[in-house]
Amino acid sequence: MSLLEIEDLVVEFTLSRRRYRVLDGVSLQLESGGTLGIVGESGSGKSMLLRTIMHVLPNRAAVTSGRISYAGQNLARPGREVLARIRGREIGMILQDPMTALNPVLSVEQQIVEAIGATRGTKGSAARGRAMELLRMVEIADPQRIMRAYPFQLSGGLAQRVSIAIAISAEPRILLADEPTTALDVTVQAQILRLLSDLRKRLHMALVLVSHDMAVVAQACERVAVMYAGSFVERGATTDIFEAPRHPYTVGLLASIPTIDAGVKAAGLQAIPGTPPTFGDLPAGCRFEPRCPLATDECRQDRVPLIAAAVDHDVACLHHAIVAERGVHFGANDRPAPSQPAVGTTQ
Amino acid sequence: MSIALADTDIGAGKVLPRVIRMMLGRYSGRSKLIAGGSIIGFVAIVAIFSHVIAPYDPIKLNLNASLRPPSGAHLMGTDEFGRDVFSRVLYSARLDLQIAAFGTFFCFLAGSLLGLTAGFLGRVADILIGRLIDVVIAFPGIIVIIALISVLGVSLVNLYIGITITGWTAYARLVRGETLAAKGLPYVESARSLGYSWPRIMFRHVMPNVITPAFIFLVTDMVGTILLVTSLSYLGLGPQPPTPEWGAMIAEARPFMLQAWWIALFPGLAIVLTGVGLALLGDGLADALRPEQD
Repeated sequence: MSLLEIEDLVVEFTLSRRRYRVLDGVSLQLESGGTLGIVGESGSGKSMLLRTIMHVLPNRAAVTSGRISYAGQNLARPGREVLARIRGREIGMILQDPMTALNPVLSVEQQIVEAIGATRGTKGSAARGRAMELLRMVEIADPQRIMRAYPFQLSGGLAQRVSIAIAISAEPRILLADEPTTALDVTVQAQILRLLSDLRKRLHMALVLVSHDMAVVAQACERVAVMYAGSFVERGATTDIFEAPRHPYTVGLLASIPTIDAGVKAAGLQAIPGTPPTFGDLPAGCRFEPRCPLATDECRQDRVPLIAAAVDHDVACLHHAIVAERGVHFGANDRPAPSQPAVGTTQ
Repeated sequence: MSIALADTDIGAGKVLPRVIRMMLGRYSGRSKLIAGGSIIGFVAIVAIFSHVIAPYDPIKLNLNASLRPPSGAHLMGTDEFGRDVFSRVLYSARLDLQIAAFGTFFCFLAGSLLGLTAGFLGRVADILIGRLIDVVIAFPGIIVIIALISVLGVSLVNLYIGITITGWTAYARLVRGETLAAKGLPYVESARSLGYSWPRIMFRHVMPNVITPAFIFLVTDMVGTILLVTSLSYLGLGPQPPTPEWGAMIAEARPFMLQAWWIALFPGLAIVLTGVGLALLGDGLADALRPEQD
């Protein structure tokens, strides 16, 4: 049995009596010590998925069906004591903007020591010693000084290291990272990614890395799931997805990564035309259909489920064989699409 | 001035602070802080050491020396019973500052706690506390206090109860708004994802981040409380004679206003001085603690 299993998860927002399905039939499995990257545009539901696992959804959102099980325990509707046992202790989370993820009025020492106390019950000088050890683990050169600092005195990279130290204080078995490098400088991004990979191996944690950046996910994760408008459209081993994408959306995402070679050619860098659908007005069939150059009438009929297209490679596209064979070319087919921004929490 | 009077919502107690603030508006934060701090420091020292500084016993009668104008022996003259006005003004400072400080602090405590609860817990707690605020605001504060003291009896404890019951709402609204804003911030989400209990998140993580505006308002609000208390004791609902108290002293001086102006003038000046000092201090603190506003 996998460490974390999610099956057909549905999460809905209720706003002025209307329901918006922000996660629709999401399934995933995470093995102990495994790595999973979740990529997708802003508002596709990536962060919502992590919040659902952590049970820190906003007030108006709720799990309406599906199953989340962590080591055999039900996390879809957890009891108070299950949550208290799992949050922070078994599953840790780090957030996008480290400057706001730390409490501005408490020193680094107060925040780490509190986390150690709450998740492990260690207090006093033992907790302080452990805090120093954690800061060294996240490769902070001068833990003595950083312990006394307040968040506003830290750089973004340092603050993210402190956040990571807090998240791993109880050596959780799963670390959920929500766009951990997005708010950082490019050079710092690489360091933080390397640090996360090292820590994962050292502590034998499983890592779920959410990012809109395919390159970030490719560096850190063995497996990738691509999310679009609240559902996975493709998932499989990172190498397979990067080398032989089978969903037009994945192809589009990959084509929109600038590379040095592609920059020279005009057709090298492509953008997917249109915008993602709003959650209030989802297409009846395939959700990518309005933006897809391969769309046919069939695509508009019913939801397209994830099916196994190859060994360990699932895709939700009726035309995945064509995609694999001939690829997809965006741009020529500039179809009108809804222009409102999608409902979501990621900025 | 008439504009300032026209747009005030509740009674005389709120007009003076606004007028004072209008007049002081152009001075910079730091000088306001220093000036207000010095005035209040001065008043506080006088209040604390009033028993040392006062040349006479504030309640001892001396009918041979009644209604004397200010002189070397009696700096602020004497009242109808021959009591030294200067000594009485000094002793009043102790009582009035104490009532203003405690009364305002109880409002701050009750209001902040209720506002924090309403904002953080939301749902039923928010609705209940919100309605309670509406109900309290619907009544004119001073009338409620007068009614309350008439029913419960004249005492310092009942005065505090009255001030707190009518004065907490502003703090509750301030802190509720700040809490609503803070609740959605990532550090609260991090705290939740670390499995912290809600009381811990509410008091240790959210409260220190939302209390500053309420604390600034506390200092400014003390002006209102001083004026409220002196108004109440002018009406005979505050500390009872012969206890010296600024409002009560002015009330007692009323029959002699034309012959012995000094009995009413000096306690009045003391109220103005304290009010200006507190208003300056409050404004200065607001500027110093919230630099992002300008």
